Amino acid sequence: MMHRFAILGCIAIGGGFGTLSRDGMMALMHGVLGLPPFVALSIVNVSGSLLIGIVFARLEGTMNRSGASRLTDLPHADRLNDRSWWPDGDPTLPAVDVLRFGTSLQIASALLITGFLGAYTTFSAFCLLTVQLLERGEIVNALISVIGSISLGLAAAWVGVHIGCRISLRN
Amino acid sequence: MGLLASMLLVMLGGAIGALGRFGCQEAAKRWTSMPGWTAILLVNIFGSFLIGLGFGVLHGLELIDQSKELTALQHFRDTQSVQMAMALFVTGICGGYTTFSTFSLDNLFLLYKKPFQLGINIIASVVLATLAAWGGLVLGGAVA
Repeated sequence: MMHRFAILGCIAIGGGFGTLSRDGMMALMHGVLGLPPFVALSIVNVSGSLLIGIVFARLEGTMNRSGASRLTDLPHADRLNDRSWWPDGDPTLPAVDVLRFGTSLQIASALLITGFLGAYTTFSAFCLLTVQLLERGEIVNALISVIGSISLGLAAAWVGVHIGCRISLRN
Repeated sequence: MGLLASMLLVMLGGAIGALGRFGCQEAAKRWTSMPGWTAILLVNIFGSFLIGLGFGVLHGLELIDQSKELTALQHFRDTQSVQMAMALFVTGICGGYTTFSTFSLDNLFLLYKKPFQLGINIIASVVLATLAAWGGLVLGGAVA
């Protein structure tokens, strides 16, 4: 029960700081540097996608507990497979430690992935900006924003997972 | 509006939004057998509708305020409250509720496992969420 509340609290804290960082980044890039809002929001969304890749691969790579990590669905994980650092594949690891890894994975993922990065990036403001661009007749900008954000976001997540696996290997 | 007040409202809204997204994800996982990415797809479409609605209403109110003959204090107070509602609802709740990073990560998994669903996810997200935002904007403008 306490565990559940801790997760909800972490999501709320992460979500609060993530949204605040987005607002701050938008104020910096749109207000101070004078970039158009759709460019500023695309930078926020793509950087969030890069970070989620890193954090996801790092968490799954170091603290995975069930042996059914989603990371193994990606080709990135191939180079990690001959390593025995998956806590689950280590028969000498006591059950308590496996459980501890599981709990800290959940807490860290609630705080960083669902909370901070989930709230740092946004889809709704992205759609609102697209609608505003279309209403003003800036169809080219709207297309650049949509196609650019989605393809760069996907590429950034791919690079991020690579970086995360690399960091996990080094440790 | 004070910087601190606006920061607190944005943080409060973001916390509510992130909890709402987590709740929707968990509910979809527990009570339906949809693949994980559809929950985020629905969250993003619904959040885009909400942001359109909220922005339409608040923007409409702001325009009305500017056209009315108000005393300086009334005008100040009214635009202040509109700005505060904008920070709480549009930037905070809707912005925190919807997510782009999880969408990108889901796309990466779909790219390797189910490329056909990747196409569905991208097209459905962009088309339906933009239509939802536009619908909300029109509806909100009509209400305000």
